[in-house]
Amino acid sequence: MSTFFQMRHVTREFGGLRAVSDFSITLERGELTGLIGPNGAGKTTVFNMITGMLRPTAGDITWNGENITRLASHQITARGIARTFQNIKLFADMSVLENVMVSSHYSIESSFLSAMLGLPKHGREEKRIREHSLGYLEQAGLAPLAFEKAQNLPYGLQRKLEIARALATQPGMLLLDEPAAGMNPMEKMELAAFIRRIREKYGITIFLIEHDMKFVMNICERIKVINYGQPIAEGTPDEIRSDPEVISAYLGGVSHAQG
Amino acid sequence: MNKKLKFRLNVVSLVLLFGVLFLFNRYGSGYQVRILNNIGIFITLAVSYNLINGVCGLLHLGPNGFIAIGAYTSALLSMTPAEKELNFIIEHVIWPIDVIQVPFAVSLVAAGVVAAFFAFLISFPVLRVRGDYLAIVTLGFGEVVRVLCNASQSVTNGPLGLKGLYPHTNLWWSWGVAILTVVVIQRLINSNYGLAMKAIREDETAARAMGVDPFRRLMLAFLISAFFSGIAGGLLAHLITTISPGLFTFFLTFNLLIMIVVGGLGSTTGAIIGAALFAWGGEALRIVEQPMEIGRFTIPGIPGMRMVIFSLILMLVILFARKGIMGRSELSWNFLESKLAGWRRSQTLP
Repeated sequence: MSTFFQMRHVTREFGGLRAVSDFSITLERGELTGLIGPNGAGKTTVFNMITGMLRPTAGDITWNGENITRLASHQITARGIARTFQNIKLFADMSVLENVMVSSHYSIESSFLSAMLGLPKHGREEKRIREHSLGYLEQAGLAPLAFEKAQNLPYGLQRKLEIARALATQPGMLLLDEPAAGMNPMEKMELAAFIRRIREKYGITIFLIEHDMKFVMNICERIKVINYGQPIAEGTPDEIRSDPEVISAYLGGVSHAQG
Repeated sequence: MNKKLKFRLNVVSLVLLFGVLFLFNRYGSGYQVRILNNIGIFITLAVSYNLINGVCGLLHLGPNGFIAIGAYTSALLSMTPAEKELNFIIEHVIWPIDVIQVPFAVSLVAAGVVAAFFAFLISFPVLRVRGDYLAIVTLGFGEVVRVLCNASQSVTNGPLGLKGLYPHTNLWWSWGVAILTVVVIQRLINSNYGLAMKAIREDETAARAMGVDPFRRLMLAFLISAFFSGIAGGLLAHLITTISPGLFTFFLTFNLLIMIVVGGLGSTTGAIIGAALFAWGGEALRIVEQPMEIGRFTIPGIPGMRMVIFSLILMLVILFARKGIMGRSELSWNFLESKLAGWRRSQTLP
């Protein structure tokens, strides 16, 4: 059996700067893995390369046995990798439901002509997409707000809507870029429960970037650490906690700060 | 509100509209009919232009190019070979245009198809860029078309233009096409395709991450918009009956832009209101150019005064309704129903 998801020796340079160098990772089906590192370590660059928003300078990325290194991001989404963004990127002026309905667009079967002529086949498909999307909103507890504009949602719910929207593309792997950023402890606990729940329900692989150590240690089974674009450690939360290199690069400062 | 009721309301309002058109067609003066024709054509133009600028959020400044292509295509196809002989006095018109003649309806469809074909060709360079750059590229396209119309004497008759077209365009044509355009484009906007286009407008990166291919969706919008602009160009040609490159300058685009911005970018209803206001308002304001008597004072008529007033009105609209008259909302039956319900509530409260 081919590996589920693999990045091999992936490097990305911006001019003379090596944002990510020689990054390799293998993820299995249903795994929940964290990617941590100090600010500017290249975590989001890794995500951008996986989702086709940036082309790696070297190395390759395979998904279900297919090389997806050079695919465009919409093609990668269609193959089953979805993501959320560090700075929330919702379709602000569209309703909560419409935000999620966009995620079904790549799989639409009826042509634009049948949409323009209002053929019954298209109507049925619209209805199916609507119900499918409402299902994901219910899962996220956002169904009562379906017709609210996305920009009017409180911050925590906007983050949740982003996850619901990504889930609606029916991914095999979900990338969460700092899902807990800016949340209070209550919201973080709720989010952790939500992430566990969706993993169980859909059986998907989750790969997440997070700054909150407690959150990451609590939720992830495996953690990968990078610093200055270089991977420096990989292991279970306990291993990472006691890894001297990680402590000196990153955790030392944080655990002092947390007292 | 249920579907059946909506359908009935739609039918009733269509019948009403055609009733009004029928009355004007029968009893209205030539001047009134002309204004109504203008309104119909400008509705088609504004609604199809709004698909790009309002729904997809691209600052496209070249619809004048597509309108010109449509107007010339339709005119050249509907003229009789004898008329072409009369028009082309400097250079003979090239084969096969000199022998072809098709019915008006066919020439309109051809106008749309040819305009869409040009849209297809230029969408490759145009859709590589966004924002100001896209505006400049499309602006350039509009200008190139105009210059080409001027220069290719043996196809377009150059600056002399085409004269003596048969006035095929009547109220049924201009409003029939307008209604068809509104229905079809509105259906598209409300479908999942429209959602994808709006998603690109709101956040292109996020749209791509959700599996939307921006290039294909924007090209689709571009082609559809050009198709209807081309048809409206054909209607315009057969309304004015004389076309020349000077008719399709950037000023035409500029007027369309004003219509959709005043009406509300992204709202089809807004585009309709904007087009109607523009086509009718410009004429209605002619009163201010006539000599007026206020009490003992007599104000002599000032030519050009209506454009001053018109500009002032535009400024006021934008000052007080910065998102245009409609914003991004649509005047639908549901919208009216909720407004009515709100009004009723306010009546029953003390």
